[in-house]
Amino acid sequence: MPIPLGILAAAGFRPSAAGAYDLLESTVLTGNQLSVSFTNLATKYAATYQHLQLRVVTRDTFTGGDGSTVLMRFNGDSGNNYSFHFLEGNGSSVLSKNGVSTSRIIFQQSSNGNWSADVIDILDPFETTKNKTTRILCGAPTVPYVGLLSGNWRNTAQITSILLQTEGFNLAQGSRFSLYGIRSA
Amino acid sequence: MSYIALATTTLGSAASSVTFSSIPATYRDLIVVIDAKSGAGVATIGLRFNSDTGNNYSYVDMSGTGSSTSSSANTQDRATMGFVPGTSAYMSTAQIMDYAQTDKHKTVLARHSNASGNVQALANRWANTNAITTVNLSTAVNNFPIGTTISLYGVA
Repeated sequence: MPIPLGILAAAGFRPSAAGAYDLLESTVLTGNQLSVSFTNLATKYAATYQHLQLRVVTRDTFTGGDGSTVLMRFNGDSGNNYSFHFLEGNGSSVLSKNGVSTSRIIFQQSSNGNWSADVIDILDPFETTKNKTTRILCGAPTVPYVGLLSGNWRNTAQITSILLQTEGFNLAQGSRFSLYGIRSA
Repeated sequence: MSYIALATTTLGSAASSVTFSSIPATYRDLIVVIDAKSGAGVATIGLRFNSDTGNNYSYVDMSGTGSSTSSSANTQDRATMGFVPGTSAYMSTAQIMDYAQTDKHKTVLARHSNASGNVQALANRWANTNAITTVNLSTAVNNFPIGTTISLYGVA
């Protein structure tokens, strides 16, 4: 027997006062373009937020097949200072891949008019005692692809910028990139 | 505040289906969380949107059981939050991305953990550009057990 539920967040609903998860910035592309950047992050957010999360829905403009990748870099660093590891399913088998001492962290996106999504956690981005760790849940269901990814940036500097750039054709109009902060206690 | 609790229910009786309705287009993403008590196995946890029962959903999954891995993909009449092979307690989360955007088919990312069965990651597509106003969760066999908590969150 279905149980229809109403929605609490009607007019007048009041969430708890002490929130720890805030939308910081969001970009929805109004045209096709190569990349998206979030900048001046330490200046704006280091005093308040402990962790960052990116929520992304994207595709590129290629129409001859499905599937390409997006790279992520920090602070404009294009040197071989990153590593990544994948655990991924392609609809027939589970694979594990890695990149050691690479120039970027990468994740899958869709093409051919189809959309993909990612939730990217960037832990302790503003700590100067740690190299930086990322964790990605990535899904491109029409490829088909689902992946759990970890990434590492070997640098203890505060993260001041995040670059997301397609490694295929341009990021398509309508792609969305939202940055959230998780507050310090 | 960008992560808002919209609705929560803890089942006072076993149920094969739970529906969240009248979802406003106020948020960017929705998150569904199921924390289920042990009970009769439910096989698959399904998600349907806006009462669409057509074969307009596709999924790809990745699963580990402790002794083997597998991946499957299919087009079917519902999205999938997880496969529950046994009777142990389990937890599933589904991230319904850009749920109210009318320029996209909808992508759903899910993770599932089963105390004695498996760990999974899943990606689904609902091939429809309509804004999602109703989310229905259902079991393939048997019911969500008494005491199961199911919650819906909005992310700004």
